[in-house]
Amino acid sequence: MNRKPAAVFVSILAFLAVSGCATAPKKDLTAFKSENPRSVLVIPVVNKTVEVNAADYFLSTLSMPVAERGYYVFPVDVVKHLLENDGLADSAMVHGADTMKLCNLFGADSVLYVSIERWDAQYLVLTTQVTVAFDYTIKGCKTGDTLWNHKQTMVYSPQNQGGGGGVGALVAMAINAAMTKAMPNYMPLARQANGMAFKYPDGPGFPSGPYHPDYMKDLATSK
Amino acid sequence: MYSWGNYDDTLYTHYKNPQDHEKHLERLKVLVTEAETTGGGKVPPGLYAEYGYALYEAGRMDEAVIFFGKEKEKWPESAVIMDKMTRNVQRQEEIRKSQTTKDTGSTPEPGGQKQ
Repeated sequence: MNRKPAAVFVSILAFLAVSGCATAPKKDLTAFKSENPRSVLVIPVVNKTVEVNAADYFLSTLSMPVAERGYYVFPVDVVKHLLENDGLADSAMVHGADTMKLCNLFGADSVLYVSIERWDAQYLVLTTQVTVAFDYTIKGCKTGDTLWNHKQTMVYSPQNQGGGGGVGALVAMAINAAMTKAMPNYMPLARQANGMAFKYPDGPGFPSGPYHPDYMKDLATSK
Repeated sequence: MYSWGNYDDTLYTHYKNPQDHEKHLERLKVLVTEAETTGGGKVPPGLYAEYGYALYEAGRMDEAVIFFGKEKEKWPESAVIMDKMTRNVQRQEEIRKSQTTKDTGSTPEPGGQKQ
């Protein structure tokens, strides 16, 4: 059973159980549809956690999912540098700046504000549970109003399957916890959270943009 | 829809080692080349601009301008910012050239120029 070396190895490799938060009620996308943005300016991420590098790491994962929804996404690293040159080195200052000013500076149609609410690992004796929580907001450049908002929480912990347990399984779990503690890798979790957040129409995301084949077709899917 | 390669890992690595300009430039070059060739031309939004910016930081101004132009051509949404970047490079080049003609004998490193 689980005590076979191969099985133990497999559980050390850690199949990770990922759980998203409960499905939220349908979002009101009226404002989003009426502004109909073509481009999204992804600005540096505000970090409300103690994980120092989380903001930069997370910023690097945002372009892909938004662009794949069919929008032009401004080059995040270039944007970051230009904002720094403009005296906005701190992401909280960028988030506090006038949306219209940001829009005009880059010629953007909308701005994506992301903040990291949680980015932490809880070390238990035989397992480690990693939790991330993000707040995503898109504001439109025609009005400055919020077009879309979503809060995404993800928890992942090494899957401790097999009720039998035994010494082999315990060892595997302990190794697993130690590995996660030594090098918690949040990137896959960040990518998954983005994937869930931007999913549409069968998710909390927003309609497809001009570069997506479903552009203007999936508008009717959610009222 | 696009050929991303390891775009996010490339940025992530750069944020981890911000001084690693040369390797960052090299990694971006690989991403651009792959997207244009094996990726069937599905160059993702922002990639030409990121590469252009890395060239600019390396002082390779002429090439930087070419890639800002490519970004603008492929993605008209980027016009405002790419025009700004291009003007910025041209202005710095003018400053550099005027200083080179003034200080005869010393040839400043391109890109190392600070006013």
